[in-house]
Amino acid sequence: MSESDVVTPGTRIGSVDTHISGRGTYTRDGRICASVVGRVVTKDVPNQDKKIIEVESKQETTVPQIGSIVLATVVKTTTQFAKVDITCVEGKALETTFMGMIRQQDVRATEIDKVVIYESFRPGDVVRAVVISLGDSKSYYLSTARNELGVVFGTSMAGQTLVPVSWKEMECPKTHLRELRKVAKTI
Amino acid sequence: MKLEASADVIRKLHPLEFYKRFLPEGIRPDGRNLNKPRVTVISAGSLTTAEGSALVKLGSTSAICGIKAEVTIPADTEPQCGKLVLSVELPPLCSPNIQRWTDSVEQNSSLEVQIEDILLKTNVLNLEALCIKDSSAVWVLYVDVYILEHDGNCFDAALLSVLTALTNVKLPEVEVNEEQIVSIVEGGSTQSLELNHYPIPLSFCILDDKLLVDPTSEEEELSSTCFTIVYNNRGELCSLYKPGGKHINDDILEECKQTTLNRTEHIVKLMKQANEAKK
Amino acid sequence: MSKIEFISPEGLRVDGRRPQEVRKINYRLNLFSRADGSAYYEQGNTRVLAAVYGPRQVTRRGASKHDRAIINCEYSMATFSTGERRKSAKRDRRSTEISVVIRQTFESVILTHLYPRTQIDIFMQVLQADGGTRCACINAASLALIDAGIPMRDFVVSCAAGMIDGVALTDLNYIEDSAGGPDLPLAILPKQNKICLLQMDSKLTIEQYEEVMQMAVEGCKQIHAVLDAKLKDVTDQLVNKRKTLL
Repeated sequence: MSESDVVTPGTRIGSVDTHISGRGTYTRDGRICASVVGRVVTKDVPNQDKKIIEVESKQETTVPQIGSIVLATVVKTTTQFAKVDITCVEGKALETTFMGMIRQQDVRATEIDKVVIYESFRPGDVVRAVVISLGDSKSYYLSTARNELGVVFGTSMAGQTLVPVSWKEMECPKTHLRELRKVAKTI
Repeated sequence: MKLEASADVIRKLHPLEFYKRFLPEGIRPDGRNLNKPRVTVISAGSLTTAEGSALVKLGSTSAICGIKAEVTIPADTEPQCGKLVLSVELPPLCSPNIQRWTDSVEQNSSLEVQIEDILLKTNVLNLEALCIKDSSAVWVLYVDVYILEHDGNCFDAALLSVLTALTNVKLPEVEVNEEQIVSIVEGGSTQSLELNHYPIPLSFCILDDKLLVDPTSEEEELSSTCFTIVYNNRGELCSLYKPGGKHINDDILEECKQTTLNRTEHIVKLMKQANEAKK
Repeated sequence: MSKIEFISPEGLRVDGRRPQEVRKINYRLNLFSRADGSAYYEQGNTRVLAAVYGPRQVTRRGASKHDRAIINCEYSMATFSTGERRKSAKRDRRSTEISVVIRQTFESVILTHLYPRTQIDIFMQVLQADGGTRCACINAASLALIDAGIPMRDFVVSCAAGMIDGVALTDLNYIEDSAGGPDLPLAILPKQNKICLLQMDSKLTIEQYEEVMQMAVEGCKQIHAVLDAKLKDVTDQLVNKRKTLL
């Protein structure tokens, strides 16, 4: 199977002995087969003598995976967790949202038992978080326990866009009242 | 503090803000002017299993209408009139927001009532033309609309598909014998239906206090109110439908009525062309 | 003795085809902007639409599986799709049975373990029915899944075969289907030569069964060749277009 050939699902494109199975492929009986329609591409992998073989297709279905950085809108807050609607995964907007949850212990890295959800997030905030697990049957579990994670966009009680002051405070530009949030550090 | 992200992401997170960047310039994200409806494509008669059919596309919204004719006994109160039974369905395949058949029951019912009101109350079709034999046999037309793609303004697409389908219905010639059995005349002629008038709709919405013509589904969701005006090819106002929503001024309504009226000729022409192409 | 001559003395069927000939196939991908994948498929006079949404959030709470995606299939026939108008009962028994059968076919083919806790919806709408709707829907769904980029083990293709007056026929149309002979819809994974779906009704001797089965397999292979050829052209254009945009 030469490179840059267009293949359909099920076509054999290589063998496990000579290549590593990558995106768009699967293995069966020691053979690597395509699982989507697209072009065959082989790439070098550092520290491995085998090349990785992938099938490049026109469309990648984006689903939150463990470790993905996501943007989510806070929908509801309780004392234990904040429920969010995951709207973007790795910079790509999703057509239909997934439900996510940020639990009290995943809001920040230090003093996790003293976290007050209402002082970290409010409904309507846009939060950058990382997916830490597939969670329970209803929502993914997310975490904002890193400096660059947290609220990236929030609205004050007066309806203005909040301006970050420190990692835990944001200020309303109109009333100059400060509100507590777990703020994402933007570089 | 601004959210640094691609246009897609902003569109998803803050759709109203996204629109506010376009509307003051007088255009919408899909490139249209605020008062421009989407390109309308009408095709007729492509379904061989139906007596009449039509497919209407308004941009990414498409509706297909199939009409099947059956013979039935007329109602006692109207022994010379045929019947028209309408049903509109938004199947789950038309939109990511409709995930089960039950999700669209409200919309289906609303569209059915709206369209039926226009067809029957403005007398689009002479139901007497569907009579086969006084008091014993009449045609009943089952008009079924399926919205195949929902990107806003399903009503316009649905009504136009019904009208076009009605204009290309071909009823076979039938005869009734002494035992009241109706049979098709072999090699008989076909009967077409004449519409008394063509009620042509146009839907509008108000988004951020600006008037938009022919809204997409994203615009419908963000709007403060949506309404429809229907004028026929004789310049008569057939329907005004504003089901709640935010208040609007009289002058906006007048503007919309004029816009709808100006469009009727173009649409009727498209419908006639579709039928010609079928022949 | 049947009134209609299903096989003429020259060996031609009611629509002029030979016994092993499949009807003319036409299809288009990516018709719907809002669905993740979509296909319009025509086989003779049978016309179907398929749309795929997903992987997306599971709608029924408690139905999600922790290690794989669940597949939801819905098959529906438009009321005007058949000669006699169908009553518009959305969940009539036949549609439900076909939905279940198609779902089970694709559950084994889609690599569901790649998308745990999600749902993949496959919706099929029959616009015009002239025999072989189950098979046409499977083919349309396969194409829609490919359009959506959902990974599968193989390209499922489906074809039905039957026997009338002792002659085995591929791809029965409505008239032939109503003749009362056996009807055998088959869906296979063409590259692996494995059977995904096999149904049969009416009676057949073992030898007749072998013959009809062979016809169905040949029919599937014919269909696969047609679908594959056009798919490679279409993908070439799409992949090229993507490269020029980057």
